[in-house]
Amino acid sequence: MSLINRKIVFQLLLIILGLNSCTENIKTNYNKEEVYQTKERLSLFQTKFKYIDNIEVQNFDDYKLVKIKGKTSDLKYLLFSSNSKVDTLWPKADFYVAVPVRNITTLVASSIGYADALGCLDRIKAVSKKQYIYNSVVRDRIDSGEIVELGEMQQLDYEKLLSTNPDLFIQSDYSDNFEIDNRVQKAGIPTLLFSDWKETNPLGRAEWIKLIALFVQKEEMADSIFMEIERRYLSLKDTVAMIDEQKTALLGAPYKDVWYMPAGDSYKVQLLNDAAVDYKWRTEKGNASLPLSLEVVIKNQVDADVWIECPYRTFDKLIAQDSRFSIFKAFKNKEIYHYKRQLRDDGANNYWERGVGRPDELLSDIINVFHPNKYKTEMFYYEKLK
Amino acid sequence: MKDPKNIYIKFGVLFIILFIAIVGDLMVGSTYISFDEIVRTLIHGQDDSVNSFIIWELRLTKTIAAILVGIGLPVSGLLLQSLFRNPLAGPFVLGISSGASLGVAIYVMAGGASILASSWLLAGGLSLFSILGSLLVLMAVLAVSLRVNDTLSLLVVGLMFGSITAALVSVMQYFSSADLLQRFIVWTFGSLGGFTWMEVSILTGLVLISLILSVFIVKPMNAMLINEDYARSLGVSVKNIRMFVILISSVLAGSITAFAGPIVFIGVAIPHLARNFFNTSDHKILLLAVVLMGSILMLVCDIISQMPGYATVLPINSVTAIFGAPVVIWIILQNKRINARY
Amino acid sequence: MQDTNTHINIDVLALSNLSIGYKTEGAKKIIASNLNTALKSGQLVALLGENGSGKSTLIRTLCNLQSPLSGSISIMGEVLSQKRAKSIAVVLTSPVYAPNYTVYDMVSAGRYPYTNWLGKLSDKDHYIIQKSIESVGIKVLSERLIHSLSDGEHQRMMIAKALAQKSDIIILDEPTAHLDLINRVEITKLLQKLAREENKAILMATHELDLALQMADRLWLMSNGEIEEGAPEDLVISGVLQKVFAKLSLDFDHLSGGFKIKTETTKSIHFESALETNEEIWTKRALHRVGYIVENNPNNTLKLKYLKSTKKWILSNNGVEAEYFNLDKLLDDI
Repeated sequence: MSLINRKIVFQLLLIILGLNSCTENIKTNYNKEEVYQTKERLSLFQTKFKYIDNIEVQNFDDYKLVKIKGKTSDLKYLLFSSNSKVDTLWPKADFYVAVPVRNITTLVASSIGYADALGCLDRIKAVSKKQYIYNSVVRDRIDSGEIVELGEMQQLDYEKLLSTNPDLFIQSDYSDNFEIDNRVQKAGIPTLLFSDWKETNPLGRAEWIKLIALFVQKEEMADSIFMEIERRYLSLKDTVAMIDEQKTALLGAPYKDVWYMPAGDSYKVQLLNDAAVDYKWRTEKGNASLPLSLEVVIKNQVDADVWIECPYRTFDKLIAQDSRFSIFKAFKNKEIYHYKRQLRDDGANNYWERGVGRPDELLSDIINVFHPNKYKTEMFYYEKLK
Repeated sequence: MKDPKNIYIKFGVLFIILFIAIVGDLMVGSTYISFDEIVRTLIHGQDDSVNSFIIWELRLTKTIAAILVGIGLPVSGLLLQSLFRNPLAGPFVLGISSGASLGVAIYVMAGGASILASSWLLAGGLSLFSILGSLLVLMAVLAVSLRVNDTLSLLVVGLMFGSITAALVSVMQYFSSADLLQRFIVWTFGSLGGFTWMEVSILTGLVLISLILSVFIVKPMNAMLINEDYARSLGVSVKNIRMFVILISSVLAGSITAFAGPIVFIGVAIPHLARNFFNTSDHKILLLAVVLMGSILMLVCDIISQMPGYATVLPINSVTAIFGAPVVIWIILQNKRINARY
Repeated sequence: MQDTNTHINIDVLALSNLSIGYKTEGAKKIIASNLNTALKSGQLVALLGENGSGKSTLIRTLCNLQSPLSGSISIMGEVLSQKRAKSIAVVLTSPVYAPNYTVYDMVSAGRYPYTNWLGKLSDKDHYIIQKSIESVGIKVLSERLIHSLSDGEHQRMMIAKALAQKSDIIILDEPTAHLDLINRVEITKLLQKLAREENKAILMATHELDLALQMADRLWLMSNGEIEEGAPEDLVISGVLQKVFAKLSLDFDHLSGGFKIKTETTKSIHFESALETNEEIWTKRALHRVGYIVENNPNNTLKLKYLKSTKKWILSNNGVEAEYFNLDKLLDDI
């Protein structure tokens, strides 16, 4: 085997075996010159997850163990107070993180929403690109240089990343087996694989705020925020629970020849169910999107009452994409809504930053659209096409 | 002398197969519509039913698109192969299709980023840029062809332009955002499904004009096939014919690429199959042969691309490549037989 | 040059102050200039010259494959315009493609200047094509693919195509290159016949001096940017031919009409040869080849005699005799 092949195999083995290493090789964010301003003790709050079933937090005397369960292996984070030393008697973990972290690099939009809710935006020091970020505070800080841009995930400036020396690196997890870039690993940067997008329950998705909270020691705050969100959501759900006649929904738009429709177990369909909205494909199993042809969608959903989450903001642009959309009843009745009400000029959509963490707001928008006589407020993310 | 009866029979067979292929393509789709209903709708015109809409606005447009592509690219390939006296010539060799890709890339990635912000592409703008890109390379190749009398050099120039445009496209990909890049990549897969009657009518017009022009140069092309010196001695204006061929090829390749994305191998492979089936190099016969066989093949590829069950549609390029690549290899193997005479 | 058909030879293709060459980057390179001559009907003219003398350039210029630098070319008195296809047919050396053409298809191409916009062949066209194929003697090859032909057959086919063009002038560039002797002779004979019987003006650029001397009606000799022309025998008698081809290592043999290679002759041998029989001539050639001057000098220590009755050579060297039944061994021993 050539040298390069050997290296790759070795790295793969490391990942598959859960990155286990001897104590001497423990990479932490502890061994730094930087002196923390406050010497915080580890918070005592016991984080529990109501809707997320693959994250587990165990509190011990001087450390916390956060376990994210995966298909074939688990990711373990050992969190300890930043004013204590690494104890060699601690259990094996993939990452040893001194909390609260002060220097976060994140590529995940929703994490910014959570950080904002928890009041720790100031800890974010590096992001992917300004054009993906809605939050005005963060955008200002990017302009002033306080926050660094690293580029897209596929073309990340690793040099810059390593030079900012983050305590925590948050990225999305697209694989099933926790793939982490080996450069990041080698540098010993604790990486949080954020897979909130995999949640099938809208409330479960929002509960990921608690995970962020663990790393910034704001668990109690996260807990109460989430409880409030949950309360609002369930109350909204109640207001429409009695409705018998359900309108039908059409979502999204095709891309070239394929129209990806959320399947029955996805969180979007859950929202529709909770909003008492009918949806043609809600009995389809699975979380992955259904790749449908335009023909199938027209055949089955031409009479859908309302078209939501359309990616175009005007009827002109919609019809220019494909003149055949005019066949839809929703088009004829002009009942089409997009989800870009909160949008920056360069394309950043707050739907992805704040919205996915606020299912109560999402539910509110859907109910607004489908049951206008039952409930009418300002919409957060949805807006009718012009 | 060739046996004309034989040729008529072969054409007859091709027409029959084409008819079957058209019917087949209309019948295949991700939803079931009965044959009776299809025939009824085609005869009586479009009414309010969903099925009728699907047949007229989705299936018929796709079928016609397949035929247009099946005509346009092989005709372009036929002319280029005869002009360059090279069995591997085609719209891609001359960089014309690459020019079209460059036009599309500019529109999607550079234009899309600054002008259209988060909007999606407008079909008209896209096709305009694609044809412009094609024409740009055409102009460059034309300019060179007037000064360089040597066909081989022209081929190399075409390849170089193809490389330049491909490189520019790569650079742009590197600098563009993820979703624009994604859009462009999806376009490169090629698709016949995005055709509405607007695109169909535009493309039909362009393909028809090109086809008619091609008929007029059938005779000089037969002379060009021997070699350029002999063609000249027989009275052919070689410079003019060269220009015509490049013009026709560019319009065909450019407009088809704009609407259907880059579709590979058809331009190179079909003329060879036609030559072999009819055992002739006579453009009188080959032009019609290529039109029929190209249409049939594209329809078959389209049928295959829709078959894998429920809704997944294979990218058309994958299917044409599976057919076309073996033919290209076979061409290269066959080429050893041909020794140019001294 | 009259034959039974009593054709009158007229100037069919006339060069007037013609200057030929190339234009590269604005600069002119003149290969030959001030060419004034004419091709007559009913004649086979051979264009000869050393490599680089401009034969190909002249041919290409006459065929309208490149432009003259100055001067004019006229056909039947009319200065050459674009439409030469019916006046001049060409046979070239450039490689031919058309992979699926049969011989018939290729010869049919000769009818190009006469057919309609689609290239449809009328009955008359077919007749002409068939006749052309027959007159070059390749009727059996009509349906063969052109790339399966031998060199000789290929040349005949291209000549048939030129014939099908029914032009008054046929210009050929090295028509006998790459052919074996028999084909070279046959092709040249064919061209001569076509010139005489069909009254065509045929110009062929060639290296075959022997054949040209024996079969051409006129020669155009190109050298130093000029053309010397005339009947072959005139050019030999006047010494022009020798001058053009003067080379240190060649001798022009007036008798055979060919060039003999000069060899160093350092030795001499006496050979009794009074009758000039075949054997004697060839024995002399062999001796000459290995460097012997043949003389009639009985005092020479080296003497050779050939006995026809017994078909053997008797070599006598200072009185010592030896017998040989072939020249090979004889030459070894000398």
